[in-house]
Formats: sequence, structure tokens, C-alpha cells
Amino acid sequence: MMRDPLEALGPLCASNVLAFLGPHDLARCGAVSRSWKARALHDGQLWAPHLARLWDGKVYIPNAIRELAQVSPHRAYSESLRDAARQLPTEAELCSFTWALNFKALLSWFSTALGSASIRRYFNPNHTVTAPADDPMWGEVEPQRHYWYFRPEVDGSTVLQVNTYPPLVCTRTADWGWELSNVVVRMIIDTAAGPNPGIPPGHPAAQEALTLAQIEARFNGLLWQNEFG
Amino acid sequence: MNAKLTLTSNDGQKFEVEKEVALQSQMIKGMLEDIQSAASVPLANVNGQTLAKVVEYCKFHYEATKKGDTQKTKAAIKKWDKAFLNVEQSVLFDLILAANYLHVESLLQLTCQAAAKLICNKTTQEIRDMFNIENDLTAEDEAQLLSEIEWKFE
Repeated sequence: MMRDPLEALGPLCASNVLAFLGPHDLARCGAVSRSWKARALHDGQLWAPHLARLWDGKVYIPNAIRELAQVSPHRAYSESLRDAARQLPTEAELCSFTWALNFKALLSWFSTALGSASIRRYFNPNHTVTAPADDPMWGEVEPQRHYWYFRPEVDGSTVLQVNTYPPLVCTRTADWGWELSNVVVRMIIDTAAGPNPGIPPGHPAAQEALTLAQIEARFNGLLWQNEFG
Repeated sequence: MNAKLTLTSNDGQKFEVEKEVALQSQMIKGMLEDIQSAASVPLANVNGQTLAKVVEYCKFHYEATKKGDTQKTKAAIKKWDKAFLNVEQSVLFDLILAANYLHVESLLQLTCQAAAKLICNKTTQEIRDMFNIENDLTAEDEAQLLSEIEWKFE
């Protein structure tokens, strides 16, 4: 008769054995019985290396999950995988990053004209879109005010609308960042540039007076005209 | 010259080994540092059958490392270890406990890895069946587990 290794080996040696298992095996062990659950799931040391490997090279992990990892690494592991499948960033997430903008092949002449200059965009909590002061396209002050908002589509999905440009579809990248893309551009998180520094004081966008409802009303109306007018 | 040391198991079996061989056990090493003249070491937590295997392991690895660190010996050691681990599960568990008690780190790692291979790629039910474990998780526990580790069932 095979003996239960947890009973036969005691906690220390049993953990030594479990340390050789990958996260999937460890999770299956955690569902065997109560004592196996305690041993395989509630030992942070067993999960810490798996979590470190899972997070290695990833662009973004929500703070809530980082905090969860302090308490329960195996749950942080599960939550990380679940969260990595979430296609739409929250407004706070969208506003927290610096985004690198690249033109797709359709407008490759635009990229050629701009040379190697990088184009960066910020989505701000007051629903304005801004750029660094030395922006190669906009210069010191953008030619027109740019606004962003999430807009539900008829198929139930949500897109990121900027003025009346073709809507940006949000998808996750393999490194757990986001890609915002339409037929013209592709935006990804520019980790090297750090977080969104916020609108500088005195910048016109800092005094933006339009509410979200007013922005939506203005551009949804124009989109309607574009499609049917 | 090589001093000898007698290891005695908890069921009275005696094993005479070269001191150098026994020193792979950090526990014996520590003991000999305290009592340098000791010629006999009683091991209260290891039975004769298991101690015979541990001695066999330590002897082989002592000789193998003496020969030098060539690729050929590495492969030979790996092959020998594999054959050495071809034992009943109860013997494997006894070896883990003995390696832990005697503090023979390489043997502990080797045997724990072998025990992990028993569990590897098995479903939860297969693990229960293999070790005759009763599932005492409540329906509540299981529902919670499912939400916590659903990804591994996919």
C-alpha cells in the first residue's frame, strides 16, 4: 500500500518534494484533500519562484495583485493569469502609462517623414489627450484639442474613441501590456518613458472645461454624421 | 591512510565505512567535530535496510568524485543514480527521511525529485488513488479552490 507522502514524510520533507513541482502540478495537489491544500497552496515559499517566473519580463501587473502576492502567492498566480486575459484597460490604467504611437503600413509615408522621432501620447483623467512638449507632429501646442472616451459598440464590445478618428480596439500583448489599434495607428505602452507625468501646469489641456457627457455628445454626434450623413 | 567509522542502525545493524565516505553526511560531520575520537556512530532514526542504501550511495559518490569531474563520469553517475532510485515507494520515502536526518543534501534532492515525479502530470483523483487519500474537502472548499485555481483545469 502506498502511503500518503505528507504523513510519511512530515511537513518539511513533503515541502521539499513539492518544491520540485511546477505550478500546474502544485495546484492539482492543492485540491487533493485538506492537508494537501494546506501544504501545496498555503506555502508562500513554494509559489514565490513560480510567480517570479510568471511575472518576469511583463510590462504591467496591477498593484492589487502585487499586494495579494504578499499574502497569498498562489492566488496572485491565478489572478495574474486571469487579469492577463482582460482586454480592456480601466480608465485609471489607460491614464497611468506613456503610450508610444506608431503608424501602420497604410500611412508608412508618415513614419518616413517623421524619421526615427518617437511619438508619445498621454491619456489624461480629464479625458484630454496630450503629448510631450517636443512632439514631432504637434509641436509645442497641439493644433486641435484631442479627447478620449470609452464607447460601447453595437456588438457589445468597448472601443477607445479619440475625437472622430477610427476607434481604437484594445487588446492584450504577450508581455501583458496593451495594444490600442485601428487601421492607421498602433499604440503600445512605452515602459522606458515611465508613467504619465500628468498635464503640466499652464498647459491649455489643464483648464479643460468639457465634461465627459459633453465630449461624448459632441463626438458621438459627429461619428453619426460620418457614417450616415 | 583512511580511518574507519562504524555506523549502527536503530535495529542494530553495523556498517563499517571510511570516514571520508561518512563525512558526506553533514550530521555525522558535525558529530565528529564534537567528538573527534569517535569510532562508532549510533543512528537512532535510520533502520538497517535504509542505512545500507545510504551507505551504498555515499560510497559510490565518494569514489566517483575522487575520479574527477569529466563528462563521462557525470553521465555514469546519472545512470547509477537512476538505477539506485529504482525502489519501492516505501523505501524511497525512508531514504528521504534518512537523507534529511543525516543531512546528505545531494541524496535528499535526488530522492525528493524522484518522489515529485510520482505526482507529476497526475490528476487530483489519480493522486488520491495512488496514495489512498480520502477527499475530506467540503463542497465549499472545492468551489473556492475552483475559483482560485481554475486556470490549471483548462
